[in-house]
Amino acid sequence: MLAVSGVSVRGICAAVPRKVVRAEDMGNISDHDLKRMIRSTGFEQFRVAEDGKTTADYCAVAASALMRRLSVSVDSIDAIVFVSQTPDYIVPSTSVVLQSRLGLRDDVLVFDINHGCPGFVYGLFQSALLIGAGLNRILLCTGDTATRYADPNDRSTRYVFGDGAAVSLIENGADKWAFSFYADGSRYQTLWIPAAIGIGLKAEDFVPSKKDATCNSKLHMDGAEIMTFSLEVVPPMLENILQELGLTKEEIDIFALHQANKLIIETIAQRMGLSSSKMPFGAALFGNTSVASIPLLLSALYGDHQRTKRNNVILCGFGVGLTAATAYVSLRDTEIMRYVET
Amino acid sequence: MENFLKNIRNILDTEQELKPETRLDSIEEWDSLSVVSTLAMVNVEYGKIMKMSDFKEAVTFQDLYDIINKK
Repeated sequence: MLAVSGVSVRGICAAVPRKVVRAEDMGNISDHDLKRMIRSTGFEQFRVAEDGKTTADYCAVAASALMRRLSVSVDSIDAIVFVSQTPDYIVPSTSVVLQSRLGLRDDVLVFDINHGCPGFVYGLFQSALLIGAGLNRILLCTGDTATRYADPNDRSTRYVFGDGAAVSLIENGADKWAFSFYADGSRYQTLWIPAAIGIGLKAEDFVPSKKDATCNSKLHMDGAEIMTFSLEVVPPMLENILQELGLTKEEIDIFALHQANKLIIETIAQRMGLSSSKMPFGAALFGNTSVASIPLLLSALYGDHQRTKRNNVILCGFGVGLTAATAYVSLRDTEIMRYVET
Repeated sequence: MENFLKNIRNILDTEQELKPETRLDSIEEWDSLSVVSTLAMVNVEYGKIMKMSDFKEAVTFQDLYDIINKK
């Protein structure tokens, strides 16, 4: 377990596309299979980015709304940490695009982290280290537009992913956070886009493959392997961090997990003896928004209900890599805004 | 076995009759979605973590039950 002190999450704001696509309107599936699909995934509808809109667009909306709500001036921001697997460009980093878009100073630190499901926890950890290094205010921008990479012919991704972003303002403060990480790169092909930028994209990457009718430039996911990985890694990871912190499950106000799908969340909750209010699934109306799913869950749960108890919070992201990351934080004084639709 | 079949029936949501000797490939709903749900059910009901590849030798639901119990 790693510990970082002297930090706080001052505020969180999520932004989701206004465009809604309902699972039942996606076609190409029988009513019976659709019912089974929704019962398993829990995703009744998806937020889908409008044509031409990027991850940075949603982050910019969330960042502006958050700074306005907190009465924080753009000149007081010292860094942008942007975490995504769907950046605007391969080059340059999206964080520098956001620096200009938001009107930040020119002596700020900007960089991107390529991470998905556990990316919010990675971003918090990185932000905490920057606070420790002397920076005062960091915009942690987490977002993905994964629907762009979901092949229309592939049910395993098409009925799972949604688009969204969230921005958190990290400051120096009185909180002490704890982290733990897990990585098993031998299973990197469980959730991936096979087309390799490293060797140059080819025309055949953009046509359906003979093997599974899914383009190599689109997401491929082995849902069964993700389930097995989640059950193997997440419950012991959560139990271990609690043990190291000397806390019981009862003392935790909420376990905010990456919203992979309803079945995974409910199975982990059942295994750990936790109620659905303690370990909620809250993405039925959004889809799996990858790196944004944890802050979006917090936004959906706590936005407009600021007094709800959230002193002891466990966050856990797991999936792509395969990797997992867990954090213990307090959101006691965090201004969590209801998500913005744009 | 009866409890196992009850759980499988719940997962499959099928109108077809399920018996221990029923072949998996005779049930339309025995697809990747059902396999994932079965992995979850096995974890909750039996406290076991299994992989999809563990099921590859199973021909009938009895085989599936036996594989899970042997794990």
